[in-house]
Amino acid sequence: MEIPYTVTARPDTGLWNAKVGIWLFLASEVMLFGGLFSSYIFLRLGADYPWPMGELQVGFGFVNTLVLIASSVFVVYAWVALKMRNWRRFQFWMFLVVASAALFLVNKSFEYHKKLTHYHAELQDGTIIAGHLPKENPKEAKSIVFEASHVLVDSVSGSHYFLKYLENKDDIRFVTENGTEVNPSRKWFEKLKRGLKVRAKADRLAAEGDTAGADKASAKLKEDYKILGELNESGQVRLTLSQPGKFVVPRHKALSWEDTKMDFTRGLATSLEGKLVSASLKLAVDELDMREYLRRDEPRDKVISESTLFTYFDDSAEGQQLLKDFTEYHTPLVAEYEADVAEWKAKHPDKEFDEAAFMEWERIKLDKLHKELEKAHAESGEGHEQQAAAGGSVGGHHAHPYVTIPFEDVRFFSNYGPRKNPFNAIYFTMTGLHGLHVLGGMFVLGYFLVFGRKLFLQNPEHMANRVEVGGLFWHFVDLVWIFLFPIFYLM
Amino acid sequence: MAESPEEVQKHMKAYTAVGAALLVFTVITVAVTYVDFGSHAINVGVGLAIATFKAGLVAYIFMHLNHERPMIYRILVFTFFFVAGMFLLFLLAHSDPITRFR
Repeated sequence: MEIPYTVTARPDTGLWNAKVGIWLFLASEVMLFGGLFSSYIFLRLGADYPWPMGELQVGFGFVNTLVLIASSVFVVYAWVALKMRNWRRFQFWMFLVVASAALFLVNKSFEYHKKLTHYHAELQDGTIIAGHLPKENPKEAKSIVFEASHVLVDSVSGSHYFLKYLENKDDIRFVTENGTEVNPSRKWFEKLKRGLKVRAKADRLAAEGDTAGADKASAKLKEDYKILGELNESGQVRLTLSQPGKFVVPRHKALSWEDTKMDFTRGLATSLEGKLVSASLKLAVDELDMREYLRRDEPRDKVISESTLFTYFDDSAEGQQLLKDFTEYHTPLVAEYEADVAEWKAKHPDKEFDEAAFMEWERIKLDKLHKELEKAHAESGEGHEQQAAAGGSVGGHHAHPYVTIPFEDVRFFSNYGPRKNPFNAIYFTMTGLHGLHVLGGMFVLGYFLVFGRKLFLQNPEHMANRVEVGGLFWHFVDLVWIFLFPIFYLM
Repeated sequence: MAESPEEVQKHMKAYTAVGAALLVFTVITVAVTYVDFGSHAINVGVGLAIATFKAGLVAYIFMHLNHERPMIYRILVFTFFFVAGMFLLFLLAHSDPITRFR
């Protein structure tokens, strides 16, 4: 069946059908993104922490804005080329559109990757540090490392999943207390569980007085399920490792740990015996944020030096230097802040002071801090200007001292992904959905580019209309980004 | 819209100009963040005003809303009211006349 009104106008609407269709679709898209924009406003107005400003690197967003705007112009050019019935020129511009879309996505993925490999830790006392994991063994830097000599597995709820965390499992043989070598695979655990069933059956039959049946079951037990003899009274099997097994276990998979013992969570029902190597977070510090911490007590500069953070530096000289720099940098800011607070309180004696809303200190980037300090030293005593961090700190790796913080002292740990806070959550939601639109548009426009020639030869106006409709969608995607860029990167 | 090739060709210059304007305004958007307009709220307002203007250019020129059929405008009027209503609902839910004055 021929689709009607692809080129000529339908009398009642005055438009060819696809035009009405795309606008209805765009209307629904406006509602979709509108809902998310209002969520953004909601989250931002309701935030009970200082809303992160200048946290994203403006460069990424700026380049992507330029790329999308350029592609919007290209898609119009491509449409005009079709209107002029010039296929080659259409191909040229449309290729640039698709290439721009790809460039946008590549840029975006770099940005996402950067966020997902950048970490944020809050200490129990409220000190916040941001940093990155060491290049060597990044996994161990945020996991529990345990050298096990024995593994205690549970016959009822245990599973072979603990092997996932054993780094050197190819070199290790497991031996039971009685000297039998076993392989604690999925099959082995299944057999253990079947054995328990057979034993229960034997017990039940014996209780019911069916001696023949009970004997048969017992014989089967003795023959096929010798392994049950290894169970201790709590139904566990203790396996000895032929050499120390190195376990690297994510914090959330461990129920508890001591110097000689580690329990996996109940789901795994497995315990390790041996030696705890480390249960601490190792980070190279990029930034310090002490706003939350400073709110607690006065005098504020004394409080800085008492943060537990400074006791955990691997090289305490570096830690002390950082403390000194940070305090020096911070002291005039704190004084300025205190003066502002006092002024505000004097001006509004009847209102309650809302420190969270008031506190708009920028996060102090270490790179920036050093730069500022150097500048300040050069200018000898000139005040440290604090700019709204517009550009991210690029390069200038001036000492990123390492800290090793025991897990007990970490209140919250996350990468800069959606989990970190509502800002990151709404950032990933909105830019992610927008990115999917870019991807979708890229496929549709790419399809026109590659497979459009046939329709162009048959009915060039129809082809032009298709491109116009695809272009309308593409402009809408650009339009959404025009708002996303300032609200996430600049405000 | 079914436009003649001549008309379309005439618009080319406008498209290029709008594209250039959008690029310039993007630079301005970033530049104004370095300027302090008095309060953060005003800075946000300025940023959003520029973004709205840019979005308007895209919609008006690139998406041909400067010369469309009435049907499209009818669709958009509904869209406008629904979106405005949705934003209003959110803001109403946020308002707290006892503890929040802003």
